[in-house]
Amino acid sequence: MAKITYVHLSGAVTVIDVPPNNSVMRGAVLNGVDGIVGECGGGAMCGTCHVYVDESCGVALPPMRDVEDELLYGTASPRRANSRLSCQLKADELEGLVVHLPEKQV
Amino acid sequence: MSMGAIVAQADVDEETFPYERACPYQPPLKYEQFKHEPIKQVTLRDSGLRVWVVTGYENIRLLLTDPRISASRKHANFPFYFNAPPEFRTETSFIGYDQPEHGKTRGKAAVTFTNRRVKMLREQIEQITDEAIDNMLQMTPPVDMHYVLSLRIPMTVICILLGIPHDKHEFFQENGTVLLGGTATMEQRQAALVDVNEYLYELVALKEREPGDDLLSRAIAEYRAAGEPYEHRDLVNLCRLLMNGGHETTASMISLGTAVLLEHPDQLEALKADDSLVIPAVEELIRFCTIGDIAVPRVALEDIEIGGVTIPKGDGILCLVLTGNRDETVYENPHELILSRGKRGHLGFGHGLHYCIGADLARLELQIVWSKLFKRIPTLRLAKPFSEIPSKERAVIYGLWGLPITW
Ligand code: HEM
Ligand code: FES
Repeated sequence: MAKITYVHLSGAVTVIDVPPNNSVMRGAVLNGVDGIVGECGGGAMCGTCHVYVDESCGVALPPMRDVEDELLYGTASPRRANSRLSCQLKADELEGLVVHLPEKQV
Repeated sequence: MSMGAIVAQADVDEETFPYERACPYQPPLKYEQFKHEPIKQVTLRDSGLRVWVVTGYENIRLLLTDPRISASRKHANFPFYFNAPPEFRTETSFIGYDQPEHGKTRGKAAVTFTNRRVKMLREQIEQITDEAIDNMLQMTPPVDMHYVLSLRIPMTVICILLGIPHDKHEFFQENGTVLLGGTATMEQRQAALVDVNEYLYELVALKEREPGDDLLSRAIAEYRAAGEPYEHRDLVNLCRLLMNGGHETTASMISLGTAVLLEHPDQLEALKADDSLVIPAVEELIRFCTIGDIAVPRVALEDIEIGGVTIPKGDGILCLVLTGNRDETVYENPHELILSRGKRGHLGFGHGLHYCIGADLARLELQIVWSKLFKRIPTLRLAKPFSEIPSKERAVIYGLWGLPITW
């Protein structure tokens, strides 16, 4: 289990214990966190699991694969320096991560 | 009741899977049983394996994102429909890999297929499509559009992406037709497989010597840059997967989708009248036809509890994506074709880690074909009643054996 915090646009906060071997995307989808769509289910194809990582939470992120970088150019909400696709983030390695949900995913 | 009747009843209950469709665009009647028992065991037709079918939109999405499933063909109970030769279990490339190998190998091809890159191909695909239509219009109708258009367009596109030289495209067209057509003998098919394989080894060697601006050259460069050792076999398997994955599927969608449109004249008229309808129309036709219904196989790596059932560790699983795409809790009147409601989020391209890498490419190809076909040939119609066109019942990729049309 890894504790992941999802911050909604309204400022409301959902904290989820994501089960082992799951992505930050699936943790949200399993628990009905709207704001993450995950249309392709983690195939790195749809870009609808976009999040902004809270840089103040101090959790080191794994490097991005090229395909994630490419998809982040096509997300519905603008890409920022702290943009990531949450299906590419394995929760187990990111205990304490805080992510902000974008305005829209599609 | 006599014993005979009881045996007959048991026979009916144990009809082997896959089942025949009720009509080429309607689910098998036997799928009714899944309304009462959405997750159950069936017996596969030729291999005789007992596997679990998982049905319904939510069940399938849940299972296909579950980290406790595997797509590896090496498991004894992997749901092959036939007795697979050993190389079918090992030489699969990433469709049969689990993490982390899956991500590493798929990553060598993935960038080429992202929406942003695919959009850059629009003009080229438009030209390929116009040429295929020009070529067809020079023939005397009736013609079999499946061969002159549906199979040709996706094969040309995938040849270009892989960096196959132009003078070799016809070789792939011909072999592709031998492998997918219903008329070739076993020997011809075997010979085509050997020829294609041999040429792909040559192609990999060529791209090592003379890299170009193509997927294969980029994959080689990435292996080298990452200092990852690779074998020619890995790249040949990657090419073959992309060809197999991109050719028959897209061709089947073009032919079956065109026939479905012709069988729904009000919907076709709406499409002809409004160019912007083609985007939802493609999604609705993919949902409606779901040609990959029986093409999403997995194995349970642990006991998995889902929908009140426990699928035991080691058992084979088939996610019947057509049931998800016709789930009435998700789609109102799911068995009706309504082009204007089409949207992404259906299960026609699968779901999860193995979500179709070619989804956005296929979408674009289909959008272009259906934007042009009915405009350029306004009188296009079937040359035979739809019910007389043979369909590929029980085939892993569903479709029609041909598309006889006239104009
Ligand atoms: C309308 C056309 C298409 C349909 C309906 C379709 C359907 C599917 C489905 C259902 C899957 C999931 C299989 C699974 O989860 O086990 C899949 C995967 C795949 N498709 Fe497609 N496909 C289409 C077009 C294409 C194209 C154009 C390409 C390539 C150029 C392609 C290449 C692949 C590959 C390589 C995979 C394996 C992905 C992985 O394992 O990560 N497909 N496709
Ligand atoms: S869920 Fe589709 S890219 Fe992340």
